[in-house]
Amino acid sequence: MSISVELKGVGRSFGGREVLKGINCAFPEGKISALIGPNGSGKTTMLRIAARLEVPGPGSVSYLKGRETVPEDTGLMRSMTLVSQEPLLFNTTLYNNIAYGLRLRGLTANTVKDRVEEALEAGGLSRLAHAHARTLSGGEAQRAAVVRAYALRPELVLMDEPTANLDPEGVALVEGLLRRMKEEHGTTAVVVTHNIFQAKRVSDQVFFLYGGELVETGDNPGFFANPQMELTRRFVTGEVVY
Amino acid sequence: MKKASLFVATLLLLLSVALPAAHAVTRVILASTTSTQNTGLFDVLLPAYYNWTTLKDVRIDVVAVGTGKAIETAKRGDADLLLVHDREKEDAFLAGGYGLERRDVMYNDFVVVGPPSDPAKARKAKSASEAFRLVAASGAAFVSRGDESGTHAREKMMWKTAGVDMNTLKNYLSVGQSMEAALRITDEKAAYTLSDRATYRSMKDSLKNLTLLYEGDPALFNQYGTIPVNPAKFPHVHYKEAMDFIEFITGPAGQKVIGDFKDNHGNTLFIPNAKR
Amino acid sequence: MDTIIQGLLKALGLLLSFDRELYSIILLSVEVSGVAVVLAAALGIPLGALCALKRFPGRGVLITLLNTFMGLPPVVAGLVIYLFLSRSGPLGFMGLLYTPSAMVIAQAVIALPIVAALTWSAVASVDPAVRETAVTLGATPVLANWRIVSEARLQVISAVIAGFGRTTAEVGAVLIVGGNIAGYTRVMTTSIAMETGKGSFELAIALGVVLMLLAFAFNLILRLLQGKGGRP
Repeated sequence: MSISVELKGVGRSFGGREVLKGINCAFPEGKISALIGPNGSGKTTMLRIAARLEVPGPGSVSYLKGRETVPEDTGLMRSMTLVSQEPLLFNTTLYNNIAYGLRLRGLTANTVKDRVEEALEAGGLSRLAHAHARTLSGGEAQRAAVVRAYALRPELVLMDEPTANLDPEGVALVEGLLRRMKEEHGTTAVVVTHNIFQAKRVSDQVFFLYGGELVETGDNPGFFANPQMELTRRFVTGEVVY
Repeated sequence: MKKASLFVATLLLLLSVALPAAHAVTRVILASTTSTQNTGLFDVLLPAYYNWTTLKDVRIDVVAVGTGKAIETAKRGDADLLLVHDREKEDAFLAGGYGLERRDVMYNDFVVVGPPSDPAKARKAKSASEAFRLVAASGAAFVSRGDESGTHAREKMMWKTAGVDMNTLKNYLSVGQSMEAALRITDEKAAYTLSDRATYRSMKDSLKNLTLLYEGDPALFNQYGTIPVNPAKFPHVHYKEAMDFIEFITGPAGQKVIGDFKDNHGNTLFIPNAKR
Repeated sequence: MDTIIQGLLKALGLLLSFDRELYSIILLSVEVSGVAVVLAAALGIPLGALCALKRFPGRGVLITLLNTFMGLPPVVAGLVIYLFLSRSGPLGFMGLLYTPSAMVIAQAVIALPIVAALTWSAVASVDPAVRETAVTLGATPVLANWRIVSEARLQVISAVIAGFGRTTAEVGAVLIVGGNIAGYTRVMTTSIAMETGKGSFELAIALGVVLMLLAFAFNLILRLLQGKGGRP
């Protein structure tokens, strides 16, 4: 059983500007949730709050296993991970980048090696294992960040536009990793995307954010087939919604 | 974290090497003068001493600075004994209770050197003080060590004896450095200076613009004395070892080494004159 | 010109024949400066990193002080250490004056602000996103700090090498607190000063050559490190 995330009355402002308002939702355990909406709708902020990088104000975030609240400590931080929009790789080889999180979780060198190699293989990056991170292309770096998350086998993974700069092959690869995480380890995933087609391909649940408010949520394909709100309908059919 | 413990281990190892080890060797600090050291006398005297002494594991560390600085060092308790050449300062040192006794060791003399053209006609002087008077009168350049060394003290005394007010000297260059450095500068400027004979002799070949102009006056006598630092004042000094070295250099064995010591050109630099 | 050429030739002879006196002086210089810089690094790297990673009262003043003392004239450092270590000084009872240990202490004092200030600068310029990334990968605040410092490791090493370069080149401090004692506290720089004063240029030039070779080696290593840590 993986972790599920609950946001209650979450709001957030930056310098007087209200970015999120009255968010109430739950990302179900073991499922892939897509967080969609136009640019500037607060998706990234919501994700970062879920990742505990930002503090909600007002409101709260809680992490649950079934009905039990998970204490917010290092254990929780090590059960989840974030793939950010412009991922940062450390000043070392790709191998060490993937291994970093595994090592600090105290896994043995052999286990680390197996997991890193497995993950690199799954991400099609094996041949770059000992290349220095700065020699990777933008696309390779982005894939590397997803591979890094995959290797951790997290209970919760949060991804912010993970395929924004990838070619179709890369997109397929990353979406494949996402599915594998869900199928192999029951990982709960929240994926921010502004690509409706991607949301249709991968998600179990969809959350539509507009102007900092959660407009509508539903399962896939119901959400796309029968949007309840006019705003939602216009967004998913590709009308310009501004 | 393994890297961190390796680092700490290396650090501790290095520290154990760097910090003073348990004193297997007794280090005796001899404060002396740069001119003495630069003649190379200690390079011969110390090995001879180690051969002669019956004391075990003693090392004489020569810290060579100007006489004034050497005496200051001993007054601070940073030396175990002195070998210097400034009678007035040595006597003051004893009077202050810093040293227990003083013994003559050896002597050489000071000489007046200057350009071969000798504009001041110092060559013609009948006495040392007259030589100084002539240099002052001519307005020629004069280089002073200016570092409170024995040589500097003697130079100041000579101006006084010659009746010259040092403030009236027109071309007076006080360099604040060793005899070697002062001679170099004197050579460079083709000026006059007062030097101990030993240093001048050892450097003669490289001093192209200088020659010996005046010598021999007893007023230019340069007596070296040795003084052990008073253990009553500084209990930490190695008095026994210092006295052992003093016994050597004032005794027949050391005196012979001093008398036999010659520079690269075969010149004797010091005349031993310890009292029996 | 003749002296220079003669000197260079004799110097080469001394170097290639592994002259004992010359090489023992070189070895002592490297040892003293080496230990000094290790001490300076042990204190200076954490200090510099701390200044970059944590806010604490007086931090700004400390950073300013470190930057100021980077330019501390070695001879001044030597004077201060001498006054402390002299028998008439507060630490006189330790009997450290005129020993290699005193030289190590003086040079560590000289190198410390250099290592600390350059480490601070290096760690402070690490991408702020590194901390967040480390946290999202499960790092505790302490581990995240380690990661940040690690990102700047090449520059930190450069800081240490800069400290080493400074200490091997200085003469003021080691002369005052070491006393230039033959076979005990005589290092390359004090030997050059002494031999030059005596007019024996061969040894002085040989030592000068070695010092310049060392300086060249430092700069080569620094360039290589900077190249590795630089842009692709």
